[in-house]
Amino acid sequence: MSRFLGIVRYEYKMSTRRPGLWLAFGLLYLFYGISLFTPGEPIPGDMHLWQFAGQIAFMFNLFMPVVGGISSADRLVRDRRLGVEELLSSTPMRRWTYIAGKYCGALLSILTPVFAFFVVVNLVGLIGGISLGYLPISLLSFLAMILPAYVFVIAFSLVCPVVIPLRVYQVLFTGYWFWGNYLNPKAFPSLSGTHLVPSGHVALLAWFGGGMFASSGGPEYNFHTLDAIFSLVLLAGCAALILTALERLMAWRAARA
Amino acid sequence: MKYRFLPFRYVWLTFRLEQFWFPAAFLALFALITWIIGDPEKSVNAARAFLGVVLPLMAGVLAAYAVLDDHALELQFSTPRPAWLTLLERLGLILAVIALCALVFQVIMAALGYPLSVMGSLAARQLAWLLPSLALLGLGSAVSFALAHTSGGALLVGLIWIFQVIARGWFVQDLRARYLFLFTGSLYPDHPSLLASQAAITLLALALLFVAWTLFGKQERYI
Repeated sequence: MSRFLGIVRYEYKMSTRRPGLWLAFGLLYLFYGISLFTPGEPIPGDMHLWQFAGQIAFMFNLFMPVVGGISSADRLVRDRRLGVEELLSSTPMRRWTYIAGKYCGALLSILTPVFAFFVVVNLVGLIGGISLGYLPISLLSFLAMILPAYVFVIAFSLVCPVVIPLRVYQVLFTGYWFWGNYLNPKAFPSLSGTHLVPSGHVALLAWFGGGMFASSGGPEYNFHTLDAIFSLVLLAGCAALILTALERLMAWRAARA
Repeated sequence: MKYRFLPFRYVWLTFRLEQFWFPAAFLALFALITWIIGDPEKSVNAARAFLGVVLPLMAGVLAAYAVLDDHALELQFSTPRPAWLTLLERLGLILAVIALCALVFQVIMAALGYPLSVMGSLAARQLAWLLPSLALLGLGSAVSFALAHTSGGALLVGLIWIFQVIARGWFVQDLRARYLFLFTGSLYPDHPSLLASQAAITLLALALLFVAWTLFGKQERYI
């Protein structure tokens, strides 16, 4: 456990000290600040709090996971290049401890700026007159829509660059985020509209009133509670699967060495 | 002093090969996609997306890693080669590969019978991929040098790209933002602000490349 916590602590400190990460999130804060805090927007009544919370969470997932995915893509690649992986493999630390520590450290470090801004948005809402009943709904939207996106994205961003070149992955991931979440499947075949969508689209439609899609028709907007649960399980399952694949790959490499 | 470009054999042996095969792989993928789609309108849309949207993203991300990712960077600094020559070699090579892919792709589209005349004249079609590629190339390298970290450049390129792709409707409509919209030439070739937008993007690209050159001159930052 101490080794796991040590890796988490190192990963978290290293990542949160990167100026590029805060620069990218800073630009996004500026954009969200202007678009979310536009004066004159009516404070939603109680009946619309769920839709409002879902809408905010969906907007958070538009761009922020791209920052998280790209910035966390070089973690294991760095370790291999700097010889840290080799050094750690000579210690009695288990592979799963290393992988879990890296994953949790990267996940927590990316969620830190996201959650910080999430808190600011909620505080501004409270100051603007939104009811206190919004806070638990907002927290639910964070857990149901924002957190699963990063659980999925960080797992793939850690593992894929071990197999394919880092810059190739970063281009593919950026393109995937648009293709897999926001491209109209009628215009071009895509994963958007399915359950394997980390943008939180399914949970938004099933639990949070649909937000901007509330008045849209069609089967791709017809998701219910079971769909949302299935989507979350699918995303978590894919993350677990890819991390397991990484452990097997590292075991194979160690056996070959 | 007479300066020479590096021999191609050295470039082939030492440079990262994905900057050669990755754009070519995407070219093949999109050529296959446009052929499989079959529908002329959808195929042309996919072709426009590849030329004007996908190629610039690759140019930007590859440029972020082009110089600082070199393990022999300190060795390069110890030689009497000016910064502009190194930048010209690295970034110029990426741009040359992107240009080759763009031209080959247009030939393939013509062979498949999908005219790209919806993007305008032959010159307009080249500007549609060249200007955003130059701009993101400059952005990727400038930010990488500014942060002395390759991932920072790739991060900003990816963020700007996805932001402009998702919010393209807003960019085109906003009176000021339209001049910073990279994809007017490919996605909105008939827009009245096309020329002004392309002029602004050209100036931006040149400014970013100048910043990259200036920052790269401060070699002690990257050792």
